[in-house]
Amino acid sequence: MPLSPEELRSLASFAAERTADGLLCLDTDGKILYANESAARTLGQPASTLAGRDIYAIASEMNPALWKELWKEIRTNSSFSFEFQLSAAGGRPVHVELIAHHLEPAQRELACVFFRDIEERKRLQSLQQEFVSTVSHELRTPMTVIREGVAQVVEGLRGDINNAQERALTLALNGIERMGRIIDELLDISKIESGKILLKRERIDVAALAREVGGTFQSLASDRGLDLRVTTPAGPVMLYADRDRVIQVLTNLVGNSFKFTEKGHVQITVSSREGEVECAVSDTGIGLAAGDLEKIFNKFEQLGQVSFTGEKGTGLGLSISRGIIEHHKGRLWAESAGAGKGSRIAFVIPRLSGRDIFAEQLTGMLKEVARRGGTLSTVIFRIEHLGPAPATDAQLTAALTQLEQLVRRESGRLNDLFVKDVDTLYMALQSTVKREAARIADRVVAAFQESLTSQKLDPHFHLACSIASYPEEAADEETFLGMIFKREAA
Amino acid sequence: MAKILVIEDDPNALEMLRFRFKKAGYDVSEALDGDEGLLKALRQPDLIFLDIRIPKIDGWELCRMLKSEPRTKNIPIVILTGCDQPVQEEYGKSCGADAYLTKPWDPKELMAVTRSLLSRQDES
Repeated sequence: MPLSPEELRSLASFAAERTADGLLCLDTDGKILYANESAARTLGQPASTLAGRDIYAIASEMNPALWKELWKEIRTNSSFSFEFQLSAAGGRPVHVELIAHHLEPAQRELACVFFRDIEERKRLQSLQQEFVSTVSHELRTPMTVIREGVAQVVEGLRGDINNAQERALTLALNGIERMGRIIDELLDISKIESGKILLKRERIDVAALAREVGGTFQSLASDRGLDLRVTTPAGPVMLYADRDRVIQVLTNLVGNSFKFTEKGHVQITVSSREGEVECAVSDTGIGLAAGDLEKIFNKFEQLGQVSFTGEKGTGLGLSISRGIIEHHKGRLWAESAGAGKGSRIAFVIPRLSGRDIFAEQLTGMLKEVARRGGTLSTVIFRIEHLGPAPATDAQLTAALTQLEQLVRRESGRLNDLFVKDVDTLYMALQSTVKREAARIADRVVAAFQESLTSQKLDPHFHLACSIASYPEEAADEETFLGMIFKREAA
Repeated sequence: MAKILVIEDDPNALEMLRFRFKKAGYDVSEALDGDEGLLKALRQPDLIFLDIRIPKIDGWELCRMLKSEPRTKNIPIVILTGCDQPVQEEYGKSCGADAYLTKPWDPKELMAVTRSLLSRQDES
């Protein structure tokens, strides 16, 4: 016999009370109408006190604009999930993962919010990452002694050795070197997963980079009798990216292709599209079965394929590559027509402007400064070309490089942020008040003007400059960002 | 004979470095912590190898001290550390080090750095 409506109602209230997740029911104004026991426990106050208070009292990060946004989201998509920080009794922060549902059909519009404390999960995650990083560092000390000791014997520094001994120790050295690479990769993975990877993004020519990486594989290609092709657009393909990291990804992809291609070709293709750049490495190798296309990105996943080079990888390369590309806000994926039919691994990186990159990195810096309570000033230099003929890219690049050198000379410190765009140099100076920033800017403008005059370029170029300081001129981060770019445009 | 000072708290790594440098014909002095390292640096070796995680004075700090002291500021310093590269490169630049090597180092690179820094020393 099915449950009667009454039984169903008591089941619903029983479930709401007993579930391990916190449950809140709120109206459109953000007033809490109901809180279950778990919510009370997580937030450290009785359910009866919670009811009647409003969302702002238990979520310091919540504001009316965000609340409105949340309602818009749940009205259109019926639910919305995100990670958030709630404040428990005494202001103690609680990290939660929450999902908000639009509760219908109720007599009035209600939001039903489930949440789960993820403090413990976060703690375990960071413990695990710390563990990997500590272990890796600790392993390096004994490895140093092993590698150096074995190398000294192989080199004959410790006396003569015979061929058989030399052979054994050379293999041992290979093993040690491989172990070193595994440690590097483990550290990379732990940095990527904890978000601690620092990208040094600058404007780079990806086409030139692809040719450079291709070049490093040329001798391997001829040794293996494989055809290595690099196809790029004729001109430069400019993109903001971390040069070393993009080389690492391309090297990993091309290296994989070489490992699993016996004959035919390996091809690197760079294509420039609206808003993004795509790089792909394709080959005529062993290919991938449809079910393996995603599997290869799992950590330590090795499909049991023996490589043609006899090398054994760590199974971390592709997860690292994907992590690096995702930190560039891009995507990396695999395609294959099937086993035996070659494969194509491609990634796209969105083409952001220098200003986007600056705004993004500055936001992080501002949060840090706000937390510590410090000062920060931004200076934006724009090189304006006054004619008569339009400036060529080369002229602008030369002028900008010169400007950058001057700026680094006048202010170069480790914590400063520099982002170069075609004709603009964005910089953020930590622990610098407006007066000091203005002094630096004046010196740069004067030095730049002087160099223009000495090159007889002064009628053609002009250096515009705008300065803003935090928290001197804008107390909150958002207003500050708005102000910077408004001034830049002026 | 060029004098190399090795500041390293792991006695095994220290022995390895001492052996290699002596075989290559260099004169080697050693220090196991930051204080001792500072004292021996004042005796003006031609090149210093400096580990980062050493007792008493941390390697970055010691490097900064040596590079700001008139008697030692011209001695090239090679940072040796188990930390990963990019971070190290940044710190290395800010503390004035002349080169850095990640543990476990490549013996060929170790000797190449040694030779190149010592020859720069000869020229000046």
